[in-house]
Amino acid sequence: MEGEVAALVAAAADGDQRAWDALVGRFNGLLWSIAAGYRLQVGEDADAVQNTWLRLVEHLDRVADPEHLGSWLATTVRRECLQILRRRRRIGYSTDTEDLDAVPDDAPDLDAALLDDERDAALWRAVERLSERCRRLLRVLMATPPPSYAEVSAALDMPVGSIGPSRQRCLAALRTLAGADAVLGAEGGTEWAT
Amino acid sequence: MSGIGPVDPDDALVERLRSIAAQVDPPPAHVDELARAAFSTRHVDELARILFDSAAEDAAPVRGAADEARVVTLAAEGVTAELELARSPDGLRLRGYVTGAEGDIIVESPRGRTRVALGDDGWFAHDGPPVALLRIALTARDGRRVRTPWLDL
Repeated sequence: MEGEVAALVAAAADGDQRAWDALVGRFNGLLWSIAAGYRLQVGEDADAVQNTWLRLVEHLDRVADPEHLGSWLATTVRRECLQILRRRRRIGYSTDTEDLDAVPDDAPDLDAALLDDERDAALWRAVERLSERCRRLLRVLMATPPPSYAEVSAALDMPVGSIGPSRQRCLAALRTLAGADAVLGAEGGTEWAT
Repeated sequence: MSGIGPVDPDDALVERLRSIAAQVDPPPAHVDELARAAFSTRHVDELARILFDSAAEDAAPVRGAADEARVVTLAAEGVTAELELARSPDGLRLRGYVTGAEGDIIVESPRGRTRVALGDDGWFAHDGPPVALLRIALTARDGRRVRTPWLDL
């Protein structure tokens, strides 16, 4: 699969739109998940993702390490998101972008309403109540297809070695918030069998 | 991912979250579309190097004023460009001075391209809506096309 990405990069550098589309198909879910972790305004998240792809087009002939394209993209979209937050602060669109909890956010409930399964909806709402760090980590981890730890590390600027422990801690916090019995009882079943 | 398999409760929970996220917050179709369309911005033009950027972290002593102008100096073989960029919620103000180029300047953002006349004195000016990303393309006197990298505004 890794070699496949390198081959797609080479083909895209040769002008092959289908190879490019395949790269988009492989990584756009990851980029979107990373941007989603920053609670940007509607449209800004799309800008961050698109700017990342524009930068890849620009660098296509000089991708130093195509095997690690996912990490490069993850780093780039993280920087785009931070740049958007900095710019907003500089221009004064928002009083304090760090004060994320002060931003009223109706989206989680609207999103959750799309779910038929009430336990899934409760779980999704619990994700929104996690700490910023945990929410951002879990949002990246739930990208489709599943990201590698190297990509998660690049997405969060976090050492690979601390992803596992953080993941464990954040999932425990999520279980507590969600109310493990009510929300997680039907989760697959097998792991709860005694 | 951890290799333990689907019976690990943490893995199972992450998989369940993945399936929820895929339902309620997948990349919107237009984001996928823009990503595929980004390929059409590909050019084989020569890429100018940034020699100086006042917005670079080690070159920004003062921050804060909304109308502060950013200065970027770029060069390619036989061509130089000095750009002054001021961005506000109302719009973008770009002033440029180039040497070694002729013909029109193309000002490009992710939303489109604008052709701007280059004066005999080497200056050009462009005022437009606010954009997040911008680059310019110009023609060197010997006919080579030169493009700047994307500049984050």
